[in-house]
Amino acid sequence: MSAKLMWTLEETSCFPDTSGVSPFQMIFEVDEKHRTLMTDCLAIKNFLRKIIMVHPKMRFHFSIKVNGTLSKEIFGVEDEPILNLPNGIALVVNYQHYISRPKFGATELLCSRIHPVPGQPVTLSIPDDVAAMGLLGELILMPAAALCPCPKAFSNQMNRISSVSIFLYGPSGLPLLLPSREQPTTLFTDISCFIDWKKYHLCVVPNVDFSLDRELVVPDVSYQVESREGDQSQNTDPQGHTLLLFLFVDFHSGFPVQRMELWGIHTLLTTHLNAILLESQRVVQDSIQIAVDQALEQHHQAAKAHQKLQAFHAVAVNSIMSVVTGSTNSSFRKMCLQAFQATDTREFGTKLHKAFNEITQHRFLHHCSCGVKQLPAERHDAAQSAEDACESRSPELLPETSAQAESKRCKKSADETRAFRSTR
Amino acid sequence: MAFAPMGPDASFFEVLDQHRAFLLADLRRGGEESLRGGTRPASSSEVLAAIENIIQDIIASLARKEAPAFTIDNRSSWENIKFEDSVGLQMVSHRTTRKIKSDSPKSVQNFALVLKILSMIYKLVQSNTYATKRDIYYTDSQLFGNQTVVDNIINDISCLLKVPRRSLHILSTSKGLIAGNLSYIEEDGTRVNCTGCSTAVAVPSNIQGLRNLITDAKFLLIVEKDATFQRLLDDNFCSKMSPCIMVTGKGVPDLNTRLLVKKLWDLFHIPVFALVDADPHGIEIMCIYKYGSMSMSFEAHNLTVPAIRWLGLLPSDIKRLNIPKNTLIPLTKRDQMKLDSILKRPYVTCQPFWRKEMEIMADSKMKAEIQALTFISSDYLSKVYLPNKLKFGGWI
Repeated sequence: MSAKLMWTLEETSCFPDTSGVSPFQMIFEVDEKHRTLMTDCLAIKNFLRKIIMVHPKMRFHFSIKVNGTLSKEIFGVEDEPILNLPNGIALVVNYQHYISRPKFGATELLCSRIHPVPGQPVTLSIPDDVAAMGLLGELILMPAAALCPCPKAFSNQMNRISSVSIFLYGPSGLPLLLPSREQPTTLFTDISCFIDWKKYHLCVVPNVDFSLDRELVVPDVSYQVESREGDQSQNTDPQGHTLLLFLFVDFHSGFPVQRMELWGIHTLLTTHLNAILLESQRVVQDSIQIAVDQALEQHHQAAKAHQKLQAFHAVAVNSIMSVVTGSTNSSFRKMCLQAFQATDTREFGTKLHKAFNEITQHRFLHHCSCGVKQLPAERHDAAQSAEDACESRSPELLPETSAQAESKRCKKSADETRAFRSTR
Repeated sequence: MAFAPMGPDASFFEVLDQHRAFLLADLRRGGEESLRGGTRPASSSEVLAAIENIIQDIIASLARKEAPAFTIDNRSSWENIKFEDSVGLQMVSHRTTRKIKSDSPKSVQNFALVLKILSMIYKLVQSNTYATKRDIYYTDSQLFGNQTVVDNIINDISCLLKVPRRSLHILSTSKGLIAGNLSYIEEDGTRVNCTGCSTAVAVPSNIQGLRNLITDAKFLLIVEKDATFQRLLDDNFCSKMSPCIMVTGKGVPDLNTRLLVKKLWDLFHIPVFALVDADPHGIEIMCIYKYGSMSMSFEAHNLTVPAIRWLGLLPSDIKRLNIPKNTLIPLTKRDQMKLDSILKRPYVTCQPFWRKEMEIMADSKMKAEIQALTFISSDYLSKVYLPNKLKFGGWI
């Protein structure tokens, strides 16, 4: 992107301050060439979308006048579920911002949220040469990982992870723009130095096929999962899950940071992120790995549970079929066929199998509270945060007797969140 | 009887006869109660209809888009068990239940396996053939995992359909042995005469099918362990104490051994005694014969013999007979937990003498095997201990 971002110092004079709203203005410098301009506009829009993903209270009024034609667009989220991460970031968790709606046959969407699992915040070492440029203070990285869509949502497609998307955020939740999309940092070319893909039997390759022309938040770095190691049957499948990895880098100097100073830090981070992350490779790897482990563990557990249900439903279906087909009681057979409006035992078998699949889906719908309610971002409070955090940590796919454990986990999670905040 | 060995004088059995008279009188007083309740043998058509009903319920649930589930009486909680002196442990009428759900990863396996075994039972009943629990396990050992899974599911099905296992056409391999004054004809016409045999006869696998049972036995002795049973056979105990019957379940008794003891009691009403180790495990085994187990409490009426008396080895015998301490074994933590659990059971309140014996064991923190009596002499058990107990009424 060739667009250049500048912050104005006169934000309050640009818009009148009404009802507690604090307007500010961002000005982008763009090239006048039409083609470049259009690409830059898409990049700017993506930049704004990335901001509202972590600042759900913000509204951006984007206006552009080309050849006398004014076009206006508003960027913001309303009444969308969010998750308060331990670092204070409020992340929008509606999956539709991150991937386009999957087409898993006729399966209805059962959970519309992602459930980010935060990793352990780690302090990053700042290389001397970067510190000498004015980056004096403490950089803290907090990763968060989530599968998209929710593993509970598409239970029949749970085995595949088809892509990995990384979103980079700097201090105050401002997107970190990598220097050049065509030439991503070496670090992100080979993410294996941060995630042990072999552990998950995955093989990833960078994805350079970015399309800005969608109403999605485009990741800063993207990978395709080529195939599972040792499993040639898994080819790249666009309908699989996407592993979302959010990397939040925050800055603390011990003193209040001025906005312009913050922007300087942001620029430094953008330029030197590669060197900074490599300097602390070990701790970064550990922190990311924990988050990814937990996110994939949910996926793994959900897949395992679903496979178990399917396998034993097949046993149940065969057993019922054995009784029905072997019965000499015509009224019994007739009642069975009538119940499913089947004309013969073959059709009955098919419908029986389908019925078992449906009750599994129904169970997901019934128990999957994560996808049902939507809370306005403005009313987001600690309790909801705890609830969301709780959901994101739920390791087992709808366990039968997990209510108490779940409640305890929620409480623990809420306590942890509060404890973390109180230390800040 | 083709051959009847000479036993002790008639006077030897005076106390035993008195005890029998007491049992019969007791039976007349409360006997009618014991005939009520419990599962009853079901006809093949009833079993088939019961299975079809279950399948219909499942299909109806699925048609309503509801997850089907089995509701089975909870047999793992004492809350669901009541004690009745004349019957033993049995299920209360308003009992709690547990659900085996089809849409829960935790219980879907059990749900499917219940259906799998139900479908197998359906075929067995239809074709009027029988299979052992082991046969069922081996039809798909990978699916079932282990024999215990199959055993538990068969008990669940028996409880679910309210029919005894035999009516499900499922047999369990008998491990019990029988010896002494008894003859009978098996279902297939085989004549068996245990009298005069120096070796024991295996407990038949179809107790319900036994016909023409004949005995003159004055008592039935249940021996906990096979080793003790064999030793008594070697010592010609059945001849010396003739007429009598000896049975062993070789530890925890299987269903057929329990059914046989119950059948012998129901038919002949002869005193039944238990010879078990003086340890919590021995007492537990005796309680299974006498009062039944929680897991099979739904079938208590067909399995328990509340008339059973504890003949030995009593913890008080240890001191009385001066059995040296070095032949005793300290109670383990597990033993103590088991003993505590037995002491809390409802039937112990009806057995003050049993309680006293268990308290002696708890206080001494020691247990003794029947073999401890060999310290006195190698044949003390068969020549002195048991005859004296039987002659003078040393049971509780």
